[in-house]
Amino acid sequence: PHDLTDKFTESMYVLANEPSVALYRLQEHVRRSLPELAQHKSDMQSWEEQSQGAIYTVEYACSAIKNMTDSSVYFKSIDSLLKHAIAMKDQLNAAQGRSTVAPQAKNPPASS
Amino acid sequence: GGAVGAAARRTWRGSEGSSQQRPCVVTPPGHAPFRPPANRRAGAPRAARLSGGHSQSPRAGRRSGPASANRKRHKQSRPRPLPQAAQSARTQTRGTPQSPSPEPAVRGEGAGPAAPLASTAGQWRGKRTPGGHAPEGPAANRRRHKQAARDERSLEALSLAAGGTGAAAAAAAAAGRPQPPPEGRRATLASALELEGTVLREGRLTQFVANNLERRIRLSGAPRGEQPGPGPGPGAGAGASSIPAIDPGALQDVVALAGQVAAQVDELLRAVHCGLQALTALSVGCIQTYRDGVESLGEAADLSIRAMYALVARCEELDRAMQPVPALAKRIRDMKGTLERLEGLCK
Repeated sequence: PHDLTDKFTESMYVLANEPSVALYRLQEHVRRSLPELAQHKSDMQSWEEQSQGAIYTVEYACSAIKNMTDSSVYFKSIDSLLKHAIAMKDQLNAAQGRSTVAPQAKNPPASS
Repeated sequence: GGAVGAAARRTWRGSEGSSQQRPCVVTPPGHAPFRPPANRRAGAPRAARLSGGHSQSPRAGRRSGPASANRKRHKQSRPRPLPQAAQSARTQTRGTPQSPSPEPAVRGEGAGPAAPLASTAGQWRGKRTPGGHAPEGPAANRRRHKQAARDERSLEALSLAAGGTGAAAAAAAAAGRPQPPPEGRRATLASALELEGTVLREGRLTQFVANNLERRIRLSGAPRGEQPGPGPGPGAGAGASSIPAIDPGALQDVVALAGQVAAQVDELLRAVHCGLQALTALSVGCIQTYRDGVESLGEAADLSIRAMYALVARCEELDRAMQPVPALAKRIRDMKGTLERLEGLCK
């Protein structure tokens, strides 16, 4: 039969066992899942570093394009100057063409 | 007169033999612990009476001898009257040294932890036994009560004459009935005890002075011999009726060992408590580390997501900046063609 000592020892057993088992499970879970958490944290940190690098790259590219669009004025002037030059060259060619026809009649007796 | 008057003061532990408190007497663990009352009468004549046998000899003849199958129950009943007598003798042997002032403190400490265990043990044992012989118990008790009513009344009459307290008078009046009438009554602990003696409450401690302890001891021992008695015959043994002589040395040993057991139980509980505190402190540190890890992970994730959103914004800005570029590229191609025309003209 269950006498006092049996009940007492059972209560002492439960008193000492349940919290120990519970705390053991807690620390076991923590111990299992901490390395994975640390791995995820390091992964996140590397991704964040890569993202920062990409951000800076995009930033540089964006500023470069902005500067490129700023240079359109110069290209405009270059374009107009080129067109002027072509026009002048055409005029020169035309003028030289006329001048080569007229001195062509006087030149051969002068040059012989 | 004074010695017999002390007979009215007994320490009663558990409801043995009488199946009256079968359903109701359970000491809750948080209840006030029992404390044996200070025995102020002279203990020497009492010890002599205990060791010399008992005056209730007419009951001795009624105990039928047990057979071999019943020896076990007698062995069970023997140790039980012994501890009870031990408890009662303890109160008397403690009363003998006549040192009242340090005694209540010592007894309060030693008997405080020891008495609840002993009282609960007695009560558990008492609970077990009435369940076993409950059907025969009331009938046997009534017969026994009728025969023992004489000496019971003589005891209580003597105690009344010796100037017992009003509680003894109330107990005598209450114990005039053979049994408390309701057997299935669910009385509280105090009201169940008040029938059997005096209950004094002192805050957390409860004092209980039982009447006719020897009768209860006999009652607790009797039914175990009564049940199988008629079967094997009464000739097996006649010595089971009277309580054998109690050894005071053994009682003192029991007292000392019980005190030691109580101290060791205290130490055990303290050690368990400290161990559990250490365990929980360690676990708290562990879980705080886990919490820190989780928080840092969350922070890293947060930063990562912010960086991702910033990247998306910059890319969108870049995409918007890309819009005039193809037009610009076309113009540059046109200029290149113009330049080549010029070059061709100049050559």
